[in-house]
Amino acid sequence: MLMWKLAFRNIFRQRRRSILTALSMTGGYVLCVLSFSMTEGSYSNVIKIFTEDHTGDIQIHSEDYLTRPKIHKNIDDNAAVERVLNQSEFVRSYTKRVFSPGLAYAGNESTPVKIVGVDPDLESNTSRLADKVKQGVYFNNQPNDDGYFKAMIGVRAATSLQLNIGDELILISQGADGSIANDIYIIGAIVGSRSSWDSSTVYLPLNSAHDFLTLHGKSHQYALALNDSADVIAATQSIQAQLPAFSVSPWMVVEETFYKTMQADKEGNLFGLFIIVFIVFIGVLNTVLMSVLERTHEFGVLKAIGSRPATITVMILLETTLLAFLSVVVGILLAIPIIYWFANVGIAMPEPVDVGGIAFQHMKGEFSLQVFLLPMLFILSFAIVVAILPGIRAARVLPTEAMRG
Amino acid sequence: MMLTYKLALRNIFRNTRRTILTVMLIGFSLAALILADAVTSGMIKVMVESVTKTISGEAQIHKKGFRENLDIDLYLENSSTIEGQLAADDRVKAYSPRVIAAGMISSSYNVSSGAVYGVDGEQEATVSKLKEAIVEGEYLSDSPTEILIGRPMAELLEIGLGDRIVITLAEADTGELSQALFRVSGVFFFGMREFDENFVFVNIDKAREVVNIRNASHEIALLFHDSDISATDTQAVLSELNQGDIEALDWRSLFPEITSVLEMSGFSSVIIGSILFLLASLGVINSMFMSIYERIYEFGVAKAIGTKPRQLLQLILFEGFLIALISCAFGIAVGGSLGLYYEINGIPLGEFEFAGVALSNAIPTVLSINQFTHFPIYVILLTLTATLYPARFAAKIVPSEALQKSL
Amino acid sequence: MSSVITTQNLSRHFQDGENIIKAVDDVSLNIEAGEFTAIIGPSGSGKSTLLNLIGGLDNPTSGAVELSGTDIAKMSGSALSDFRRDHIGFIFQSYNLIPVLSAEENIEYIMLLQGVDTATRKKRVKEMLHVVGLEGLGDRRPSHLSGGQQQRVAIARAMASHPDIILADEPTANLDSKTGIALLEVMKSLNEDRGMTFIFSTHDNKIMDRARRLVHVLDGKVDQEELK
Repeated sequence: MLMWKLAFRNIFRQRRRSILTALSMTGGYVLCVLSFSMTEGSYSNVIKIFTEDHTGDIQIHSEDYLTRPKIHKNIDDNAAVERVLNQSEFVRSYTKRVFSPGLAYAGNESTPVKIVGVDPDLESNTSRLADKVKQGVYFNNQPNDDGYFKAMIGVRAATSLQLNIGDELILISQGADGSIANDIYIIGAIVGSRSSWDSSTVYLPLNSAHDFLTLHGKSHQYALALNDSADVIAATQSIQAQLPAFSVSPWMVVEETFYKTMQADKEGNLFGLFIIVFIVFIGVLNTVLMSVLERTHEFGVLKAIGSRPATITVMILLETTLLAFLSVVVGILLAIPIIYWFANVGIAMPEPVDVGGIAFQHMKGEFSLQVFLLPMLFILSFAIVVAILPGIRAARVLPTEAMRG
Repeated sequence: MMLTYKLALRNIFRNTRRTILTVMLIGFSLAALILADAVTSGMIKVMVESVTKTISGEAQIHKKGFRENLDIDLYLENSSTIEGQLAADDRVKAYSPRVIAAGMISSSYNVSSGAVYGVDGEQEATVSKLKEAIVEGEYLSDSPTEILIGRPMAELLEIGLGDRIVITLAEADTGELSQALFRVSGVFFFGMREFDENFVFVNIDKAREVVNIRNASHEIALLFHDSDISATDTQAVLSELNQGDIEALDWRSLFPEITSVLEMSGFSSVIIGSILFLLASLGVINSMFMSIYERIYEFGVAKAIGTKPRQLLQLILFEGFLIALISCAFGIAVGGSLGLYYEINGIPLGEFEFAGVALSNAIPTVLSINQFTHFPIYVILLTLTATLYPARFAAKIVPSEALQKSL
Repeated sequence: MSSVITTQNLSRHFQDGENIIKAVDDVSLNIEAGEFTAIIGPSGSGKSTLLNLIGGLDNPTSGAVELSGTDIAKMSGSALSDFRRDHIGFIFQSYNLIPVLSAEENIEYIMLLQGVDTATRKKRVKEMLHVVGLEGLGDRRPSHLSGGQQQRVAIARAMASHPDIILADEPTANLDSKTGIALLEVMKSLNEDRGMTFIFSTHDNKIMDRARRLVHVLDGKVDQEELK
C-alpha cells in the first residue's frame, strides 16, 4: 500500500513535467484507439455488408470452381449437402446458385450479362436480393400464363437494353452440354443500383436456369448465412469434415484478395502506430531518467537504510506505469464520445474505393471493449519497458551517495 | 549575438544524454514523416502508372455516353479525322485507336465473358505496355486470327498458345449476333486484375469486321510529352477535343477512384503528421523545462546582475533552434538513408490490392525534394513554437525567488 | 561490555589515475555496546570513509569489519542490504527523509522493509514520535517540518528498526546551535536510557563535548583516542 502511495505522490512532485508527459501518452493512446476503431469498424462493416448482400459467410462448390469456374463443375449430390446444412447448428439459412456468362437481347439492343440462377425463396432468406428490388416485384418460380419465366435484371443492363417491367428479354449462353442456350424471359424486376456489383446481372429462377443451361438440376454454389458470423472458421471446418467431396470455403477464401489486402492494411496500420508510440515514449524515457537522476541522494538514503535494489526498481516501474494508466484513463474519457460518433455516424467517402475487389464507401468506427483495451495494454507495456533502464539505474545507486550533503 | 550562440551551444551539451534523447525525439519524428511520405508517394506512383502506363494511357477520347454502358453503337465515326488531328499535334506524344466490344469468349473447354479490344499493334505499342506485358508467344503482327489473352483467362479457359477461341458478340447498329474464330498467339500479364481477367486483344481491322463498323473506333488513348497531366498544354489539347458529342478526359476523371485515394492519402498524411508533431512537441517542451529548472539559480544570478528578460528568452529560443537543427540533420540522415535503401530495393508491404492494382511486389519509395526542405522547416518552426512556452518562463524568473533555490 | 563493532586492519584505497589514495589505512578499532563515540578529524581525513565502512555502505579494499559478530567486509548485494536494514540505523547530514511521505510514513517505511506486522508498526511509530518529542506532528511532510524536526524524525526512523547501533554523519551540520543541542540531548537520552550505541562522524564541538570517547582520524589512520 505504501509503495502505491509513494509512487503516486512521486508522480506529482513535478507537476508540470508529469502533466506534459501524461498528455503525450494520452495523445498516443487516443490516436491508437481512433485508428484501431476506424480500421476494425470499417472492415467489419464492409465484411458484414458483402457477406449479407451476396457472398454469404461460407460458400460450397465442387472442386476448384471458385478459382476456375466451369459450367460442369457442379455439385452433383444436392441431397447430401442439404442434409448436412439442415442439421448444422451453425447454419441459419442457405441458397443455391448457378452462374454463366451470356448475351442479353432486347429489341435491337444487346449487352453481355452475367446470368445467375437462384432459388427465389432460399435466396430471399439468405441474401439481400429481395430488398434490392427497385422496380417491379421480386420474382418466383412460376411461369406466367404464356409459359415464360420472370427474370430480374441489374440497372446497367436494363439501361443498355432500354428495358421496362414486363418487357421481353432474350438470353443466349452456352449450356453444360456445349449447345447454345437460348430462351425468352419477361422482366419482373429491376434490382440494385448503377454501381452495385450486380448491375450487369440477370437473375433467373433456379429451375428455369437449370433447364436453360442443361444442368439437370445441379448447381454451382451453395451460399450459407450463419447464425453467428463469428463462427465462420469453426463452421467451415465442421461442414467440410462432413462433406469431404466438396470445397467448403469461408468468405476469407471466397474474397481472398480482399482478405489479404485487409490483413496487409491492418498490419501496416499497427506498424505505423507502433512507430508513433515509440516516438512518444522517447520523450517519456527522458522524463523518467530525469526524475531518477535528480533523486540520486534519496535513493542512496533508501539503500543505506536497507531497501533492496529490486524495491527501488519496482518503485520506478510503478511510478511510470501509474502515470501511464492515469493518462489512459483521461484518454478513454476523451475517446469515448469520438468513437461513439464514428461508430454511429462515421465518414462517408465521396467515391467508393476498391479494396481487393470490394467497394468501400463508408468508414465506420467500432465501439467495443477491445478497441479501448488493446491500446491500453500497448501503452502500459511501453511504459514498463521504458521504465526498466532508469529503474535499474536507480537501483544501482550506491548507498554512499547518501553521505553527500 | 555570437555570445548567445556560443552560450546556447554549450548549454545544450551540458546534459548530453537529455539533448540526445530530445534530438532523437524530434529526429525520429522527422524521419518517420519523410518515410511515410516516401512510401505513400511510392504507392501512388505505382497505382497511377499502373493505370496510365499499362493500357489506359493518360487520356482517352470517346463518344459521349460510351463509358456508361460501353454501348457498342456509340462509336467515333470520324475516328480517322481525329487521329489526323492528333498526329499533327506536337503536344501529343502518341495515340492509339481501339474498337471495344463486350462479348462471350469460349474455348473448347469453357466459356467466359470479356471485353474484346481491337488495336493496331504498332500504334498500341506506342501508348500502352501491352507488348512488354507479353509473357508467352508473340505480340500482334497483323494476322486476322491473332488474339492475345490474359494469363488468368487462359487458365480459366484451359487453353494455351495455338488453341482456338470463339468470340461471340453483337454487331454495332443491328445487334445481330456475330461470331469469329481466333487462335491464341500470345498471353499477357499486367498485374492488374481487371485487365488480365477480362480483356482480349485482336487486330483492329479484324475487330472492325466482326463488329461491322468501317474505319471507326470506340476509343482513342493518348500519351502526352508532358508527364504532368495538369499542365496547361495538355489540358488545352483535351478541351479542344471536347466538342459536340465527343468527350476527351484525362485519367483523373476516368479513374476517380484513384484520384480520391490520392486526396485521401494527402489528407490523412497531414493529419497524422500534425498529431505526431504535437505529441513530440510535448516532449520538447518538457525537455526544455527540465533544462531550465536545473539552471534556475544561474538565471537568477544572471538577472540579478542585469540580464534583461528578453535576452534570456533569446537564449532559450536559440537553444531550441540549435536542437532543432541537429535533430533535422539526424532525421534527414535516418529518413534519407532508409528512403534511399527502399527506393532501390522496394519496401515489402505484403499482398495488397487497391483500386484494382496488385501491389504485391516490393514498392519502391519515392524521395522528393519537399521531404528534405519543407518538412525540416516545419520541424524547426514547430520546435521553436514549443520552446516559446519554456522560454517565456525563463524570461520571467524573479531573481530573489530563484536565488533561494539551492540545488 | 561486549564489542559491537570490531575492525581489523581495515583499509580502503581509491585509484586516481596512477596514484593510490589511501582513504582509510590499516585501521583496527573496537567499539563496545552502549558507547557514545565521535570519530573526528579535518576534511579529507577519512572519517566519512571509515564511517561508510563501519556502516556497511562500502566494501573495504582489505581487512575485516565485524558487526555483532558478523564480518560484513565481504558481504554484498541483498545480504549486506538486509544486514543494514536489521542491524544499523543511519542519520545523515540532510535529506534523510522521503519528501513525499509524512513523518509517520517515513518511520513506518523501515519497518515495512523488515516485514513487521501492521499493528506493531503503528504502535512503534507512535512510541518513537513520542520519544523524540514530535507527537502530533506525525502527519506532516518533511517540507512542513523544521530542520531540527526532520532530524528527529530521522532518529525515530533509525530507532524504530531496533538496530544494534546508530551511525550519524554530521547530523547537526545544517542546524543552528540551539537546535543542534536539543537534538543531541535526545540522542544522549536514548543512549543512556535504552543503551543504544551511537557513533558520530563530525567536527561539531557540541558533539565532541558530549561524546564519551573521541577517535581522532588523520590521513586515514587512527591518530589518537580520548576517553572522557
